[in-house]
Amino acid sequence: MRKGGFRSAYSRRDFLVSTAAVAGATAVPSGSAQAAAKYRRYNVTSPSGQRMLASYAKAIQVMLKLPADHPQNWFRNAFTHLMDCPHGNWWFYVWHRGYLGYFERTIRTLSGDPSFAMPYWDWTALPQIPDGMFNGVLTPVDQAYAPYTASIGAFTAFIKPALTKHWNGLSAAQRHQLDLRGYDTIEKMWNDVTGNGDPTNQAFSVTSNARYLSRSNPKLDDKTRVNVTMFYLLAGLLPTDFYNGAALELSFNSSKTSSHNTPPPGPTAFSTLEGFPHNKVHNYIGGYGAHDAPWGNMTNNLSPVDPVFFLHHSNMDRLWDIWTRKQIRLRLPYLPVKADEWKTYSDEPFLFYVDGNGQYVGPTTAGKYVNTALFDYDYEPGSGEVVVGAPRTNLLAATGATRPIAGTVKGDTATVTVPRPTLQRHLGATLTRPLTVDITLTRPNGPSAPREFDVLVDAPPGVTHVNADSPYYAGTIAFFGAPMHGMDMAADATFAVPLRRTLRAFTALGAASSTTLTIRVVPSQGRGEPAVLKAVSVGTV
Amino acid sequence: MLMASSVAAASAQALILVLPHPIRAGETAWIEVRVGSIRRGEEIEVESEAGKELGVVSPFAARSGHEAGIFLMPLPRDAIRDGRIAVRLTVTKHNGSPRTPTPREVRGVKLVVIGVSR
Repeated sequence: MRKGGFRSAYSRRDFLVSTAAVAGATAVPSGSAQAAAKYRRYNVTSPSGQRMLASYAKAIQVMLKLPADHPQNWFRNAFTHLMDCPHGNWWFYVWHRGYLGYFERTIRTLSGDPSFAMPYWDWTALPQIPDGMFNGVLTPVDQAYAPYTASIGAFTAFIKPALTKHWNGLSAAQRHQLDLRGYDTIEKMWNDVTGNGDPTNQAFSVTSNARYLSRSNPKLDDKTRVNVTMFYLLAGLLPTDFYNGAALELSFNSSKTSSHNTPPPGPTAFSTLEGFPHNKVHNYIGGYGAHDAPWGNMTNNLSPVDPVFFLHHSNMDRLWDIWTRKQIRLRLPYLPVKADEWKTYSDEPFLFYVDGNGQYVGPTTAGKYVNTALFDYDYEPGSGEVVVGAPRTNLLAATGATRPIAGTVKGDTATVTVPRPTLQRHLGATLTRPLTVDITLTRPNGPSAPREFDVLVDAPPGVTHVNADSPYYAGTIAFFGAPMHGMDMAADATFAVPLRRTLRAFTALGAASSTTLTIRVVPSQGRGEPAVLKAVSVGTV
Repeated sequence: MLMASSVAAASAQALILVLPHPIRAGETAWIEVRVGSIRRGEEIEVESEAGKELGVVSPFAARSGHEAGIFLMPLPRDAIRDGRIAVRLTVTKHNGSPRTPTPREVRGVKLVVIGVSR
């Protein structure tokens, strides 16, 4: 368990107090310091995140071997999702928070690691399956799954009898939820497992097909990468309302529906984060868009069979937490505002969860899970965290891509005229996409030619060598390795150097409509052949 | 403030969406795509006329026969020129030829400008 840190244990009571402040009543500080969270969900790429994977794998091994009638059996756990998960409605985040939280407790218990917390996969920062998730039981194509998923016949023989017994023991309230979902009989639900002759509707995946992405092919494709960019992330965090049925752009959540298992009367309106990064990552991992059906687990509602599901949803939950903390800081609503809407939202029954001790949680409602305090966790900061500390500006507009501004090149020097608004956005907002200077230069030849060049901005003439703390120093371009004799290597290369906001060039902009930057590229050691610049431009990444 | 502009003119290949006014400070433009019934395995790609990928609508676990839903796509400012944007919507599927969606598949496309003034 971690010590230290900060937790925002926001609740409906806190929300009511903060909205009173918005209305002009006595100001109440939001996000006041509270006890640190007991558990921290780390980025899976961090050392702590990687340690968590070891505990995760240990627990999965145990869950795979549990009998089919045990609520914590690996596949029984996935059926909780198939039977009850909401998508495309405003309970999407809160239901998955409860599902993930109880699952995390299960892992804690079965791994024997009392500090376990589900790491998250920040696909914006790392658009590929994280290291470690191809090892052993952390991938559903591992042979440990084969006794159960070698064929639909094997899977049915293993799980269906126990599932049928469970089904027959469900309460009337649980059966009502399943009816709303279109599962008035177990055979209707089983049709979605087998596909019922339609491989595109098949939730079951044979072992070898359970995950499309592999160790030799771990990356999200170009299209999926578009959907997980920082641009999409910031767009998804931009909404100012918990729900807004009239303006989807202002709504953090997807459609308000009559129940979490019922579609809306009209088309589902997907919030940006659910509709784009959530959906496309789910689909592509299973092979949707990469090959014909049937697809891997992540493409359908038995997706929790793939252990990466929980890292994916840990990231989605993290984004909800970021949005909530942003709203709190800006004194904006982070839950439904109207009393009747709040009641409708919070009273929604979630009836299928299993706790960390293997017991059914029993009747519970959405209102129990709006808060991270129940499961007592917070997140190591990741992509998108910037919105929490940003001023009340449109970060998305501020971070929109800037068309590259070409400079004029002569020898080792270039001049680029940058409009004032562009510089002001760069300097004023906490941009995650800072201005960069793209420099294309010809690598000097010869064994003693310099390999490293410093990029100086507005340095006085005659300054040819600086230290890293110089107000003119933007960065160092470095060529790796010696030129290969006799090999036809490309002589020109382009480097993108971010422009630090503390450069002297930015400290006194003046009132002019634009600023001309003088960019000079000099050998880092202060000697050797000068660089020959081919092109220089200034823009955003 | 919310403003919307529907498709102003269309060719077989590109839709031209016109901004109601130039984007002001604090405003963001979005494309709202209403996707009808598409076959599982198919996705809707949206790209600018210049070929820049703006996003992919990929319905997850959508129920057969149901409309896939409304998807909201943020627009980078450099995709907008002279107050308008031309976009191409393409239905893609593995091993299938990309094609223009039918009216049943894409029920509507709208350009929305929203000001974050709160």
